[in-house]
Amino acid sequence: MAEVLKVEHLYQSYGGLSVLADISFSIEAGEKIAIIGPNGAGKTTLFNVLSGFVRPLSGRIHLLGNDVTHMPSHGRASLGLARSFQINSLFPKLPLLHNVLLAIQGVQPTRYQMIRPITAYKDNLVKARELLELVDLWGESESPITALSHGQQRQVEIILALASKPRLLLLDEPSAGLTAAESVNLGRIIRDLMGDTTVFFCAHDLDLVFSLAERVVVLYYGQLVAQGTPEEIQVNPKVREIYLGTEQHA
Amino acid sequence: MVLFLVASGLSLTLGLMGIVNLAHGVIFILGGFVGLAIAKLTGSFLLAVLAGAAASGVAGLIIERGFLRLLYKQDLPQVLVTFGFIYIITNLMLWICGPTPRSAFVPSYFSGSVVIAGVSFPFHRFTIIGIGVAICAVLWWLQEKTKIGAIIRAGMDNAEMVGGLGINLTPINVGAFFFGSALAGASCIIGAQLFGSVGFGDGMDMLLVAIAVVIVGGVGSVEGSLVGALLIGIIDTFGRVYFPVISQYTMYLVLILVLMFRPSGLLGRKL
Amino acid sequence: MKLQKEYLLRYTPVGVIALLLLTLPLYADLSIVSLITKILIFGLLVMSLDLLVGYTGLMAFGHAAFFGIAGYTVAILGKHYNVTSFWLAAPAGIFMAVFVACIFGLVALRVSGVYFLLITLAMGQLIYGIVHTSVGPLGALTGGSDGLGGVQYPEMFGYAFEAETFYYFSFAACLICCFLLYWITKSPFGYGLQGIRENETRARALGYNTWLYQYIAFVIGGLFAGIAGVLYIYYNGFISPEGVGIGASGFLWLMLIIGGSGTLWGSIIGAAVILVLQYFVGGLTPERWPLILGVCFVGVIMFYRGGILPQLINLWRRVINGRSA
Repeated sequence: MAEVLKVEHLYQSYGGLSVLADISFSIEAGEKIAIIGPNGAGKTTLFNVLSGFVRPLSGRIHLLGNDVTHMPSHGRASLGLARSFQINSLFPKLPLLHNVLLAIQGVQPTRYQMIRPITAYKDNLVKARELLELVDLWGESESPITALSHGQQRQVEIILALASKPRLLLLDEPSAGLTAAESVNLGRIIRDLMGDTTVFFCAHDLDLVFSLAERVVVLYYGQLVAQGTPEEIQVNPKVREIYLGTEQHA
Repeated sequence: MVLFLVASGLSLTLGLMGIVNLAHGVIFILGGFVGLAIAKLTGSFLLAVLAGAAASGVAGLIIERGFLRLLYKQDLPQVLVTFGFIYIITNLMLWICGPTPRSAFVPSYFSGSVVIAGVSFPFHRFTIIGIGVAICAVLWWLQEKTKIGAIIRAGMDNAEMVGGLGINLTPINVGAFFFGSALAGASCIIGAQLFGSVGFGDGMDMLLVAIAVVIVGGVGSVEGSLVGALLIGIIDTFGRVYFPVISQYTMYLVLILVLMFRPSGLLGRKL
Repeated sequence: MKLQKEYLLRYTPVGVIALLLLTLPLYADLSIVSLITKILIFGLLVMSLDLLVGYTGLMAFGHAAFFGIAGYTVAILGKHYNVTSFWLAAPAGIFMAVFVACIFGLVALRVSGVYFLLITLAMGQLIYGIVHTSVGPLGALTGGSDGLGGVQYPEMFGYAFEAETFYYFSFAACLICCFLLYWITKSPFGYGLQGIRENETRARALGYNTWLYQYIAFVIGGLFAGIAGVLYIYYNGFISPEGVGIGASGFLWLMLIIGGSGTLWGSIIGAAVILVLQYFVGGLTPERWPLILGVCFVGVIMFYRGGILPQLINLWRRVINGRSA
């Protein structure tokens, strides 16, 4: 199986605080991996480093065989990396349809085109429609994002990441801010949409984690402390200590 | 020195509220006009300075409370509003006061000259420097040593946090705006002695140079404005003397260079 | 899917205006024609600014510089190098504007936000300073604070334009350029720009090289500003430093905001409103003009952020909906 992502000895710190310490792992094609850990463990930082928004202090990142450690985000997107954000990161004043079209076109060379209107690309329109119909939002395609509910916006957030048919999909806390019911719904949608895309996501909702992931890694204060299948992680003593320990102080 | 005072006021509002008060230049002039009028009436330099400062301060206050406050947290419209006020204030003043420049008022105890190393300097230059240094010291003390100064500095770094700590930043902001404007007005009168007169063109000129000083020296710090003012002043003067052809824009070149490589200025707080 | 009739009703005002403009010289006297020409030219200029401000979110405060550079190039070529051929001077003017935009863009895009505003302001002033120097060889070249004149209406294919016919020429040129700008905003590139304006981080994550987009937009803005500059110098015959610095750039912003930033066509309306007001007020109380301008500007920002165009569109919609109810 091909290796989609390989991370070697990543270090990152803010000021004197070490946020990522000697992170190394790899992901094979088609795997669905979850990363969990208490708040502040460094999950979002890891995502930022992987997607190119933050430079690691040291270490290397290989995406599909390419060394992308110093590559800017847009370059990584062209290679097949897509990412969703913990806090909805959409294009608020643009209509829903154009949000999706932009996402689809982000990795196409035609995005620099200046003469034909964006709606002339019929293939993209079809793809956009498919995506929107999957989450029942095709009827809202003319509405600005601000007219949608938070749950709907979250769904759009995920769709935008999927629109470019990525090789590696990073989902940063996909169910953040959703009710329990919406969270379950989102889990179902992601499962349907994932197909054989390689997915790397982080979440606090352990139900989501265990229903979607084949493998789980645990991040604790910037270090990888455990890896394994969901079942193995559930009974891992160190993991229980981390979670039960923090629960006591909650 | 004058530059420093004006720039400090601008730096304060920019750093604290993120607003570039483009009307700062005309507020400067406004203070000058009012102050000089008072000076003619009363013959007192001190009164003139206070009046000018008050007038400028009030103008700044009106702009802030009346208009900027309603555009809370929208940077661009706020900047544009201050830009609009340049036209409004300038024209109002033109209407009320007439277009002739006002001649400077040099109080008798400042006149005369001093000889140093064979070169005769007008005495008032020293007084300007002296006043400037004094105010600089006061500002620095305020910034570094007082609680208000700490609050302001904190506000520049992270306004949300300060609010979260229970400190109401709004009156501080308003006060800072007032103070910065008043400072500009006062400095116009003080500095008028140097220029000989105060005219309308000086307002825009002063604004542009003050912006340059704030950028080069760094936003939000008294030392920054001082260093910036000195640097810009020297560059400008040298430019005029040695390269009269390009003197008008050596300053802008420096400004652009600084913005390219150190946007937060030489001594400023981080963006 | 829209009814023919609906389309017709919607765009009737546009049709009426177009008709009026096309037949203008027939019923209006020369000063009005001249005013409309000026409105068209400035409309194009402000539109080029809108591409940067309204669509890409770049607060460019030195835009008048590109306009001025193009105009000055034509004037300088004519006066000092005896190059009066339209086919040489005009492209040269446009080229200079684009060239400077390319350089300025590289510098300005190193910063963002209010610093971008300040640096573009500084660059505009730099150009102002260059054309304003009255001393030395540079002063002789640019005419210093007096400006440069002596530019005649262009001659093409043996036909020499005059004021009225130049109106048509400007009308055509502006129409073409405006539509080019419009098509750009509707294209993938144009939507990319808007995406960057809305959420630069997400755009980058989706694969958009945001710096490149902003740079290209900046240069395109400079290009059309240069075209407007060339048209202006032929229209006016004369150019001075006042058309270059912060005063001029601010003036453009006034027109942009009043017309409606982000609407593209609002730029022409903004230009029309300001220039028409200036024309009339200039006749009545020229001293109070800046005051009125300032008040209008502040008023629009405080209350009609979207500008006049959206209000006009709403008004028209209410009219036609009220009728067909």
